Amino acid sequence: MAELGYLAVVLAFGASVYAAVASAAGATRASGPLVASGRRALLAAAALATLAVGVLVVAFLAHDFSLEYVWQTSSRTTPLYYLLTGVWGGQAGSLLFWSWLVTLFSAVAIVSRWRADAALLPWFVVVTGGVGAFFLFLVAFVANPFERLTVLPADGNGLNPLLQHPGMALHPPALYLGLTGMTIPFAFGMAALISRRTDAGWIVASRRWTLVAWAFLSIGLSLGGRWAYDVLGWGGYWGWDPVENAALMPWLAATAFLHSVMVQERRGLFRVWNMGLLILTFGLTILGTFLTRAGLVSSVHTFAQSDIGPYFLAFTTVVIAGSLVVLWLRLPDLATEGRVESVASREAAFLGNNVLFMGALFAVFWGTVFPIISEIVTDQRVTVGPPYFNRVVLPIFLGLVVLMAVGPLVAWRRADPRRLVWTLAGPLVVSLAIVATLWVLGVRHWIAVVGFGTAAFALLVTVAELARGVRARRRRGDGPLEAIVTLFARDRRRYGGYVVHIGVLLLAVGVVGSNVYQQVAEATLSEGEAMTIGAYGLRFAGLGARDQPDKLESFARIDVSREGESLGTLEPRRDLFRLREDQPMTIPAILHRPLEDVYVLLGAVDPATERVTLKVFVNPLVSWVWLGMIVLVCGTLVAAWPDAAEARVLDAELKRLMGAAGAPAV
Amino acid sequence: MSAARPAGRSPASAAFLGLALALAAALAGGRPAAAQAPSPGTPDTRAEAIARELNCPVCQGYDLLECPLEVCAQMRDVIRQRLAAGEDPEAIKAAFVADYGPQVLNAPPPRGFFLLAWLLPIVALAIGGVFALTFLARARPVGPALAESAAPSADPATAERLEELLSARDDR
Repeated sequence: MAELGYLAVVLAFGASVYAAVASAAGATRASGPLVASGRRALLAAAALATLAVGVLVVAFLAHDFSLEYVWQTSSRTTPLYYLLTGVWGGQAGSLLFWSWLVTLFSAVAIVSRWRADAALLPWFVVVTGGVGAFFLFLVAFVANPFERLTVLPADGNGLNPLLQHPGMALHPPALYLGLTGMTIPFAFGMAALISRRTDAGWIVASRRWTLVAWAFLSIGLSLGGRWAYDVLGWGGYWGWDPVENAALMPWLAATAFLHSVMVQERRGLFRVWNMGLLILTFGLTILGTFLTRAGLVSSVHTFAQSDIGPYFLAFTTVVIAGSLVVLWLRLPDLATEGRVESVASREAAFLGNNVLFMGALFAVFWGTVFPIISEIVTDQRVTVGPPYFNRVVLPIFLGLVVLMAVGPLVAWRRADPRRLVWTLAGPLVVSLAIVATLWVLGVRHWIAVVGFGTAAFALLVTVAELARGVRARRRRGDGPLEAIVTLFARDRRRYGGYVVHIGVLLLAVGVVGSNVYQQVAEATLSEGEAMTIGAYGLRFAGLGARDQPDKLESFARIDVSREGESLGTLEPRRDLFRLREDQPMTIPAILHRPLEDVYVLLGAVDPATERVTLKVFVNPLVSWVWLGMIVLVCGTLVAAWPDAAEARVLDAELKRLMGAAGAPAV
Repeated sequence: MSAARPAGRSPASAAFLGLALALAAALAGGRPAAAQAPSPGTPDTRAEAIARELNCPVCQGYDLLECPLEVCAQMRDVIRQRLAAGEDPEAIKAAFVADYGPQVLNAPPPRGFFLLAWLLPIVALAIGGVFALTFLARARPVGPALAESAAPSADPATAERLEELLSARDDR
């Protein structure tokens, strides 16, 4: 059975290579049959990779421990859905999963766009076939998940306890969907350059794929944060860990692209720059994998290390160098007659947005690689941790929040600065009033004042923009709900974008609150004793233990109260997995409240005296972080949802109105 | 679009104001310590601040304040004792560096080669800014502004709808 999986991988590799070569040859010689065979080969590669993943899933379900990979990442006591998690819970499996997604995405793109972009797609197949071939090569010849053990073990090693969290079942796949998804817009861009079809067509396909991949990347990042918060037990959700940074970097580049691509669509500007951003985004997805897998940087994700680093470094170099050469050769095609007309214009606002995103991206990159560089140059390894990133990156994010408020209000080409100031005056006054109120109520830390004030301003401007749209619809006689629905339906991208902005701002409020006002307390208690933190009292009510099939849980019962009112009992615990007794897990117990979380960790337990050491965090506004991410994802869905029939209706109306207004073609 | 009335005084913003006030009340009310701003003076929060700047020397990826290990709890106690003995925070950090090497610091010290870690992002941002400003300095108006050209005679509602449609078209 496993041999079938391996065979499928090798064949998929062969098919990908053939697809790339045949499509390239077919496109250069304008040979229809060759192009068609390349297309079929890539579809076959996707089918074969699907088969290989299926075989691996079956091996996990059947507890086939003759496979080293299955033995290493599962056991007989592993619950069903962590069995599935095992598919991507280790090196070899995650590479197979990655190859599968790349080939599957390209197959979907080919099938859905073959008729629309016939001239461009052969080159698209060349690029995605090449990328797929690289990953399948690694699976087939470097990290094979179908490798057999020489002896047949009775039971498996079990999944790494760190990965046994519901968020872990979804966090890696969501990230992989996002990272592999970025291959598609990159391939469209390259294909457009090579086939000299750099008109509007390719960018439409690129934009939607980027948006979808971006949404998955956002989901992946937020689930990772949730996992860290629930499992790692340090009271936070984002630690500027190299692996987190590796996923954040392509996200930042893609966010910059999603904004600046609008300038190209509307005004035909920034064409070289946008192509560069696509190359950068894709390059960063590969570079990130290299950084984290090569073991060059230390990280909580050390389970992901291996020796495949050099392959990724070589591949990244080839991809980036190759793409830049193609871009350079095609520079004349990307020349534009348009120009930015005023500093007070939407184009200029997007330019500012891109400068800030690139600045943040560079700072994250530099902080991530600096330990390596420092070791090479000074022979001294330094740590670059949260204090660095918070000081360097967060001010840039603050600038982005301001632009987020102002940018959408600035008109294309030339805006009237007076009207802009007038529109912003209201929200500015209200947000200053909010800051003043917060000050009176005791929120006086300067970071909180600046952070809450800026977020409130941006939130007010955005909500006011939405309200303005709704009022305009109401004037046409729509009911309140109808007005909102039609508003979004009429211009999903714009209003979906506003919803994304609102999500980001809620997130920003959560980040500021939880960082500035986090409280920590530690105490060693005997049964019946209590400790206080802020307004909360925590009484140690005794120890307990639970015997689970795969682990032993020992917990402390902590009665939590606030100002004398009982809020329930928390059970912070330590898990000892039978198969991984060297790796005890400290699982926090969290009381989620709308405005703050009480986060309790069980430290040392003295077996003689039964005294326990507790570490307690009060984390304000953490739930706003999760809420913000949910809103962000909803907004992205609104913006990305395809709707062809509506598009035709809207086009007809546009034509009619343009005629009526006597406007020149835009 | 054409009516230049200030946005922001809508019912939505009033609702938001209320929400923000509730938030402020909760943040301030639940936390007398935070309400009286000058809390950084107490030994405990000073110890926390120092622990935040240091790394757990044992495990990777945790700072000394967050680390759940017992040995780190002891190190936090050491920091508290030294503070209580009147020692200077910088001296305490220097003692940790002497014991565990410079990687015990959570961010590179802004000295010598390590200064590059701090300066290069600022330089990069400055270069980006200069580049953008040079680009914008060449900005020249071409023809009448879009809003005017799109609807010189049309009513505001049509102009607004046109703007909506154009932006929706870009979506596809």
